[in-house]
Amino acid sequence: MDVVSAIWHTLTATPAVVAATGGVLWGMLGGALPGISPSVALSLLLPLTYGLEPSLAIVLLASTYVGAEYGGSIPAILMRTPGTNAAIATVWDGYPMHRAGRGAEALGISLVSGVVGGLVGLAFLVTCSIPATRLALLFTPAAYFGLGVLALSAVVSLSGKAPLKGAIAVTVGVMLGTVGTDPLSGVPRFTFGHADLLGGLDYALVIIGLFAVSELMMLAGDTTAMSPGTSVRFRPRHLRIPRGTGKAQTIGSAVGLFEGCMPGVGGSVAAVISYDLAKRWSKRPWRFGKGAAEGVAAPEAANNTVAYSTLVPTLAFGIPGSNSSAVILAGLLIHGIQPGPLLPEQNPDLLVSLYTGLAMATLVQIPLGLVVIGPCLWLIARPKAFVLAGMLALILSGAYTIDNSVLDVGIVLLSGLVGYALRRTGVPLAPIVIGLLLTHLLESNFRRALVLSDGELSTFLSDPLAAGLLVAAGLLVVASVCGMSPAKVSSSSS
Amino acid sequence: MTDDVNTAGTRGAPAADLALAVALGALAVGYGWLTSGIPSSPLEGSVGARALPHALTAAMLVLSLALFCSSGVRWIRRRCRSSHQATPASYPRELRNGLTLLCAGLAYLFLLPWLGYGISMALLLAGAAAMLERRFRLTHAAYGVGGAAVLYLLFVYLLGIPFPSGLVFAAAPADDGAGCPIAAYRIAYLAFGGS
Repeated sequence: MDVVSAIWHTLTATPAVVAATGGVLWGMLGGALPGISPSVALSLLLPLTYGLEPSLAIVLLASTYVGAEYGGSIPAILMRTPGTNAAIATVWDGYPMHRAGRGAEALGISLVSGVVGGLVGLAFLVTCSIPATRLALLFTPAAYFGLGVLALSAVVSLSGKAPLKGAIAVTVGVMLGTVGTDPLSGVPRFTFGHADLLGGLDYALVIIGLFAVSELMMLAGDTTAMSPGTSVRFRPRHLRIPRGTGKAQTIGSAVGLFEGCMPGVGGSVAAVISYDLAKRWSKRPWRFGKGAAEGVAAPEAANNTVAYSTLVPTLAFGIPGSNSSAVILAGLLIHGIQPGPLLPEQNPDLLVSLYTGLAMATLVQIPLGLVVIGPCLWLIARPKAFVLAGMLALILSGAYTIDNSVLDVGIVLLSGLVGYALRRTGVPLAPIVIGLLLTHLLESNFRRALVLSDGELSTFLSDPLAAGLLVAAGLLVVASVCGMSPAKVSSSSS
Repeated sequence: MTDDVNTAGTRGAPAADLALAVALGALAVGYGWLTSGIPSSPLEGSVGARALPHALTAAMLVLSLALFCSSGVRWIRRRCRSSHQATPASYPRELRNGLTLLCAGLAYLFLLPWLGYGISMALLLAGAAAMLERRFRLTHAAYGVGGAAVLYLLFVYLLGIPFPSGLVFAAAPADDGAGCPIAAYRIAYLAFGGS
């Protein structure tokens, strides 16, 4: 009964519905712009969440992630350009459907499959996040250290053809994470005497600079023009799903649940794997690549499911399952909310608001998806220079609002320059952010474990959970060096 | 993870990777040097505040050395392979456009305390759009003014963010950045030798 009244309170007495709707709308518009990935859309929003209640801020961010996954499929289907990386598999059958005059049908399949995947992911999140936080109680400091190492290894193993650069990026991220006060002794490190740096680097500033500013700089250099081509009329009747797509949606949702819980794996890997499985298990595999409805349903269900399931490790362990959930984790930390076993006791309202807000976000996707197609196509057709200038203005204004400081704007631009330089040299940015976010968890638990064991390093091997996680981390690194990482598997299958 | 920006790393051009390796080596040396300045504390246990930074310094040195060696080998191989054929020079337009956007942001950063939010934002919007299109049209100016007005309404009036009003307008009475006509008057006044 308490839960019901809490949900009712969230729906009626807080603007969670507005936040969910606004987040989905913003995510759809951002995701529809090729190059603006969910994490960039989230980064743009991050400064604006400072003034909000923590629960509203998290609902807004999570809803944006949900909306961006559908938004990414719009240019994927209509322009053969995935709005987000996770929509890459949608292109393979969505665009042929559009060429065959079935663009609206493809959009309908994408939207409904996304909602189906979202509902599956939401059910999983609601049922598993609290048990997972209880599972976190079993983790000793040594095991937490092992989990952090496993997460970083997974990120490195996903660094495609250059795991060395992935390792470099993780190291840079952890280096940035060491700025500030030492977690155990309270000694200042790399603060250069600035009191502002005692609390460490502001995650939001680094994330906005690395993701958003560098992305805009890359887009400015991309000379290909964007055009939606022929427009489509998207009507409610297009939401009727052809027979046979239910199996593809089930495959996509199942893959999305599994991949979302894996640290470092996310939407595009899940989308590609689910496409591959749907093709293998289809009765008509020869139609894939030529406009098969299942080819749109499976990846869309998968990448939408990931948007929810990735929040389980984020909330339970503080380990982001994807790049976008890293931004959501930063949003939690900014508001002083520590994910982990104490989260349900300390912030029960936050979880109820998050579940309710995400349920609203999932449901409003259908009406918003029908309405937003026009504005999305209009936005895509705008001159790129105007869009980029506007987004830069929004980023720099947002950066100032974090602490009302011009210095913050400078930090964002500097982070953007560093991010741009790293991207041009092929260094992935996600491991930097994950490394930055996990530094505290890694270092404090490593040292705590040593304090508890009187300085015995063997504690990491005598604890079975820690030993298992560290062995798994080692195996992941070996697998990535031998060319068996999920990123390579997904790229080879594509 | 791969749902987002640039998760997967790529092998860059060997020369760029060499430069990156050198830069990372320098970063490791500088970081290690700063690490030696971290004070010790009686509260620290068997592993002190310097342990992780020391480990990171060593890791970064090893990684940059590995990158230097691998990219060096690729660079030599490529030199040998392409010694007989001249490669066409490519104009780095991508780089230029990317840096143009950054320069617009830097200009905004320096103008913000002087001109205030409204005017510097209008200049940023119009200037960035014009620079990216490499020509100036009245549409850019209109976009700058209109966009700045919208952002001003959003951030200053609705969200109540105290953006700088600008030193140029210090004489303007209780100006919170809103007084664009007053600001324009002050700029013109100062530009024509007023004080």
